[in-house]
Formats: sequence, structure tokens, C-alpha cells
Amino acid sequence: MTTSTATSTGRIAAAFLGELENEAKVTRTVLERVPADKFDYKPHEKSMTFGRLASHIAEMFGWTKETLKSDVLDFSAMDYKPFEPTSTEELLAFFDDHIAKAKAILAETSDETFMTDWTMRNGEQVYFTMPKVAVMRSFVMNHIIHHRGQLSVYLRLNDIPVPAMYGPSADEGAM
Amino acid sequence: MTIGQTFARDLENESKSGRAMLERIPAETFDWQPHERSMSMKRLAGLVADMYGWFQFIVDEPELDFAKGYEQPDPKTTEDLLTWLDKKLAVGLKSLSEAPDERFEDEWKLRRGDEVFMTTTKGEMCRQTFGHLAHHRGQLSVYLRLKDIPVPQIYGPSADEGSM
Repeated sequence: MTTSTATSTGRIAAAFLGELENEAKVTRTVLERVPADKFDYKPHEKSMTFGRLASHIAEMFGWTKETLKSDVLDFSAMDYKPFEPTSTEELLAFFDDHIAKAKAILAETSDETFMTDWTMRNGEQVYFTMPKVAVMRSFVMNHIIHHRGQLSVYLRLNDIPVPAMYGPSADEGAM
Repeated sequence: MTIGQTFARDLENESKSGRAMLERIPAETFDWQPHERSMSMKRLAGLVADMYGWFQFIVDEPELDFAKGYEQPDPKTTEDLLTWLDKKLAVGLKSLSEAPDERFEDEWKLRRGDEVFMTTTKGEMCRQTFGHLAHHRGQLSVYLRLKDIPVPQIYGPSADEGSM
């Protein structure tokens, strides 16, 4: 299902573009540091592996498309294949591609589109319906930041320096 | 709805998973840290609880100056953590809900005396604080997992709870 045709960049999209730019920069710094020989590492048997968590963060930027170009995400109609990178370069190329696509989609999204409803469901079962602007804010952006926060602990546990994010880390940046 | 009321609604939503995590943290784990360079459980959990209140000084004050001192949470029990969260969330929600839209265009500074770390608008600082909060709450979810405390649903199911 697709929504109304593309228009010029709205004010909401412009704000998200600025934010995406910042978040992408920080996220890339984090992903760059995930070594391929640690992709299988996990801190606990119930945790995601380092590689899965990193590629999940990269793919989530791509959810901009599902959020802004559709009105519904139905798990029962999806054929989801998790991306499994074999090198850090592959992970970064996948990430860069998703960022470029997300920016292009935002650039053609009107304020009106952001105010239309979006539903997540699994067939008959509806999880939530919210305006697209709230889905972008919470389900996409904050959700990415949440997993990136988790990834920062994985870095620390592997003695990989944690970059400064919102302020200095114990390894980098100063105040 | 004003801009502040929209932020307040989002903050209330984002506080549910924060609360669900904090109420599961037993005081005997407070001194634990996953790595010698990491924050302790108490410090990270206290920070998450405290951040819900940051909206008060972002919205109502022109700046935060570390040189003037800042009252850090020092919980002794799980109850203390939740009390801090409730107090901070209440002041954060109040400031956000009462602020007129123009307020979010005002300048805001983070400084230590003469040294200014950041100058931005109140609106931008609010948005950034939501991200910052999700960041530390995400870290806290790994701490829970490492201490075998069930991780609640946050944006979707965890390996312990919720289903889709």
C-alpha cells in the first residue's frame, strides 16, 4: 500500500534530515569499530551477537522507507532476511546505502504525509496505529539510538574505545 | 496540542519502559559494573531516572552551569530509584506542558563557568535529550541482561518478554 505522491521537502522532513545527518555520523563511528572477527561475540546467551546487533542498527535506518512510503507494516506479509555481513566494510557499505535512501525519501516527504496514520500489524492482530511523525520519532530514531547504546556496551566489553556520543565517553572526548 | 504538550506525551510514553527496567534492579547489584571503565549499575540507573527531569532546566532555565553544582541521585534501594524517577518525571512533564511554543526557539547553553560546551535552541536540546535518554536506557538493558534480570519490552519484544 502506498501513500500520496511525492512533493517537495516539508518542514518536518527538513528537521528529520538534520537529525539523520547527525545520528548517521555518530552511528558510523560506532559501526566502523566493530571488528569482523568479533561478529559472533555475544555478552550473554540470550543476547544478539555483535554482528547481528550492528547490522540491525544499519538496517533500521532503512525503515524510513516502510514508514513514509507505506501506511502499514504487516509481518504476516513480509519475507524478512536479516543481513549478515562478512566484513566491517560490507557492514558500512550496507549502512551507507540505507542512509542515502533514507535521505532521498525524507527529501520528498510533505508535512501532510507525516500526519497520516501508520499501522503495525501481524495479519489480524494490530500492534499500534500512530501518525507517521511519531513512528519516525519513536519506532525508527529512538529505537536506533536504543540499540546503538547497547552496542556501545559491547564495544566496552571488548576493550574497543567507545566514541563520544552525547558527551564524552570514558575513552574519548572531554568536558 | 502545543509543542511542549507533544514532547510531554512522548516523554510519558518513553518513561514506561524506563520504569519497567528500574523497578527490576535489586540494590545488591548497585555496585556492579560490566567493565572497569563502565558506569556502575547504580550510576547508570540513577542517570536514567534523573534524565526525565532534565526537561525542567532545559525549558525553564537559559543554561545549565556545572560550576554551580548539580544534585546527583544517590539511591540506596530500588525504591529510592523509583522515587527519584517519579519526582523527575513530574517536574519534566510540568515544564514541558506549560511552555508556550515560542519558548522552544530560545537559546540554551551548557557550560562550566566560562567554558561553554554547547549553544543550541531549547527545542533542539529537548529532541537531543530524548535520544540521549534512549541511549543510556539501551545500555541499561544490557546491564540487566548480564545480571540475568529479565529485559522488559521496549520498542518491541525482548528475548525475555513480549511477542509479535
